[in-house]
Amino acid sequence: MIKKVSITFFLTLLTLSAGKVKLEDPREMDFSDDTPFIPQEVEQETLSNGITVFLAENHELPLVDVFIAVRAGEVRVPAAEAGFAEILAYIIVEGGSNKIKTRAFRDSLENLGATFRAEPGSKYTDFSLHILSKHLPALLPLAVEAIRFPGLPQEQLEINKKQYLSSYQGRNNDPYSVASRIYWKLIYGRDSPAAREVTPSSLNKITEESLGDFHSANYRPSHVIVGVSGDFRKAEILELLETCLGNWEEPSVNPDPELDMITETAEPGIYLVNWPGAVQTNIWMGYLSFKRDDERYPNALLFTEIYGASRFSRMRLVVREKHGLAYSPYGWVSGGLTVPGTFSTVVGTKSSTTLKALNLLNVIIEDLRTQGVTEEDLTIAKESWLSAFPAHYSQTTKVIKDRMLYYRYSYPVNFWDMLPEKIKPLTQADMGGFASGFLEPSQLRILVVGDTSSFDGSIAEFGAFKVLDPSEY
Amino acid sequence: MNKIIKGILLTAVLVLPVGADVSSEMVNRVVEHELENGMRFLIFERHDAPLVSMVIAVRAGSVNEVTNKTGLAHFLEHLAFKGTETIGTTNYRKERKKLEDLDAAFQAYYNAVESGAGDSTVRVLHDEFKEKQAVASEYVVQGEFSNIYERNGGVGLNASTSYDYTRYYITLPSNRFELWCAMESDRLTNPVFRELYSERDVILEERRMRTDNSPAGLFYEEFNSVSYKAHPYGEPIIGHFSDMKNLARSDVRDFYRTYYVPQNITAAIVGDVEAEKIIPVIDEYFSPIPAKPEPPELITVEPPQPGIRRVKMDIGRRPMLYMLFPTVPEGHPDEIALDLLASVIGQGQTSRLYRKLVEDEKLATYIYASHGTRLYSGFLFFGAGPTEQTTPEELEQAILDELQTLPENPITRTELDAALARWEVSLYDYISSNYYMAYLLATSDQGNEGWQYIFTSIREAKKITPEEVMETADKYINPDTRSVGIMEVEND
Repeated sequence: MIKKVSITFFLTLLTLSAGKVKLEDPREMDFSDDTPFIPQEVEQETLSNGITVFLAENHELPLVDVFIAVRAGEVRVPAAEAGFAEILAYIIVEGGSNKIKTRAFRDSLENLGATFRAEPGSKYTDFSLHILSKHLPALLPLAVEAIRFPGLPQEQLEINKKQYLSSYQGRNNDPYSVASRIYWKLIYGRDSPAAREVTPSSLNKITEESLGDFHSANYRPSHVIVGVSGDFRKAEILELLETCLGNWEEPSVNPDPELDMITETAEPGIYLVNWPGAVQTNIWMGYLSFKRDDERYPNALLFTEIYGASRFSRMRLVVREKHGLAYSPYGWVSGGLTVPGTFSTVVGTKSSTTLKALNLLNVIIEDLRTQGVTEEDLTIAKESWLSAFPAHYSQTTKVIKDRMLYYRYSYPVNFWDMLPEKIKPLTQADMGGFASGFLEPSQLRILVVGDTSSFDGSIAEFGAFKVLDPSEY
Repeated sequence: MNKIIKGILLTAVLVLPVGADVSSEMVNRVVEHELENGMRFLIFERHDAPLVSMVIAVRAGSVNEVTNKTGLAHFLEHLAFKGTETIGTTNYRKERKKLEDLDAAFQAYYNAVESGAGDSTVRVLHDEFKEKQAVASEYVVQGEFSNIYERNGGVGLNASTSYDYTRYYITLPSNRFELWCAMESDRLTNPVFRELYSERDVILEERRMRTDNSPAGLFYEEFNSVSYKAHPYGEPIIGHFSDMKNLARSDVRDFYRTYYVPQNITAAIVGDVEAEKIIPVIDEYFSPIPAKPEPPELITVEPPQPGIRRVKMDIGRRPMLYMLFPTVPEGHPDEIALDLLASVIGQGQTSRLYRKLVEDEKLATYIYASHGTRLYSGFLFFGAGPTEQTTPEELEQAILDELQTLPENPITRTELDAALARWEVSLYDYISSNYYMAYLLATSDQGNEGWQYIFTSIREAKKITPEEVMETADKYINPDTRSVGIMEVEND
């Protein structure tokens, strides 16, 4: 039944002449009635073997999401064998367990509308099972079985290798992809687990046996965190998880060591990739920042709004709105969870305005560094960040994922919830101090990918530059 | 039960049988409200977090453009963020005159360029244009429209233009709902398309980013253009470079006046609001928008495809294959069966094409199928990537071969049930998000099927038999009327 409202039912007194809508001026509206926002409560439990479980119920729809994070990412894989952890993750979700393999495994999931995905990251591999709640008792054990006892079928491995090879073949397809790939290598190092690629050579080293060894060593209960959100009952899910995961014993073999995330950082300076025929230049520039537990992190969040991530940011207003030089100029200061994040800037502009855009970026950075932020910058950034805070937790799945994220890296699980109280007292002087101390133009690694013959001048105007060959990165 | 809800139920229009399933419950939670001027509102309450998402869908897209004016709907979408007669200006009365001077200066400059006037004349006119642009910009409060939203905690502030629709969206703290009413009613009534010339440069950068600097973007544009002979679906939404250079403020204004009429607009509001409380606010802000004449109907109909259309490019590093069969517009009785057909043959790793061509024959690294419907036509689409040992042409033939086995190997009830299960989960995924729910409600309300289709389609799908799906396969998969796009690896 549709609730159709009579158009006269709510007829109100109109005081304006037809066609001229202007009631309250939005600039003068007062919303000081904000009430403190408290995110949905998440319960934390522990299985008998020590696995931590986060739970948040929501019964509006008959859906459940189970997140299983395993500390078995690429950081445990030497650069020469890059791809081990990633491919293992994909084979687990596509190849099934040693009891139910490949096609039967996928039929069991897809025929019931379930999705079982892997998101391999540098430190963790994240698995997620997204299903109708009525299928939880049948499908959760199936997915967990694949994680604990993967089938690792040879045929699936070959398919995954072909897919990686195809991606590798297309790696120099367009200037944007090349710029983004090289940039992270300049910042974190060519061999960094956060920046490196899977290559034909590293793929050759991956076998069923070696994957099995990696799994045996690194997939272990002490590396696992679980989160469940949606339409379930606490007692039932805990019983189910205990059955599936609670009897998982720690293996005797030691896990592979975690390698350094930052292997080398390129020297500050200009790096150029000439791309004849490109009609738009990709500019990426930045340097390492700090970790999220750094006391400057709240400043960084506001600075990001002011510098390059909001519609009122300097980059947006100057580069896009005023000069029309780019569609989506973007800049940010991130705080890494285990290693430093970055101060980064990304701009795409037509070849003939490459130097103009670079000059403008320099001016914006230099102005913030020497002049700090204005009172208006600070006010609008604070208002924006603080009033958007509830959106961070707009869905139950987001609350669960947030808690799992901070827990896994030993931050307080309510880390994000504490930020508003750290942001509120920040002053113009605090922000000015941050900008002058943190911004170091001389430290920028500036990567320019474009058709140099169409630039509006020589890149040498900005100093010495090094020409890069994309095939070597 | 409060008196407002009682009133709603008393005036309810019964269009669907009420079932016990979730989708029926969802239908019942949607409050529909229509103003006298024809503008429609759909409200869905969800009180999980103090947030509300709003999507405004305007039935106006690139299909409504004419020759020489491609990109106009998208241009208007960009300029709709430039403010109104009060927002984004220090003094609109004075600014208006300066904008007229600016447009005249641009036209003079443009005409000089087009007519091949001498360099010195062009230079003088260009300088004059730039000077007028600087004068007009003195009245601009840059970014004020967006800033008001952002400082009020707006997230996801954006808009998009498709072939059929233009949509504006934002999520706000729910206590700021009236702010949205004030902003959007002002934008729909008193927009000022200022900063037009710099914004055009921004859009040209967008075009470079998405299309001209991207082999995949160029390939898609070419493939799309050969798939249609007459219908404007063959034109790029973002527009041709030459047309964009020529668009004037008067073009944007005319398009806005013609298509941004209340009866062409639905706003969906999903989140932590109470319909009872917000409807009077909606009335207050949006009722004064005057009713306007119906926009002109699109006349052009794509004629039946007489043969195979083909485009081949060698501009990238990664070979790709696109293939398309024309089908039906949204709302056609065959639509749902075609959706199910696409799901069975080409969605997921259990689909027929994936198993045959990726797993068994190892001809492709990926393959997928989808059935897309628009207001005026639809298509069964296939996208695939050949392995190193396979050419795109071989992969094309392999797909056709597999499709031709359908009569001997008909779709089974099990396959159909699996497709329905995936459909159900996907539906709930959309519903679970305030933003996506608002997006679907607003868009489908302006579509051929009405917003109820979001929830009723799955019930209709459950009634379809494997035999009916096979009939649609036979009817629409005709190899002689396909469009094919092949991207090969560029020769160094």
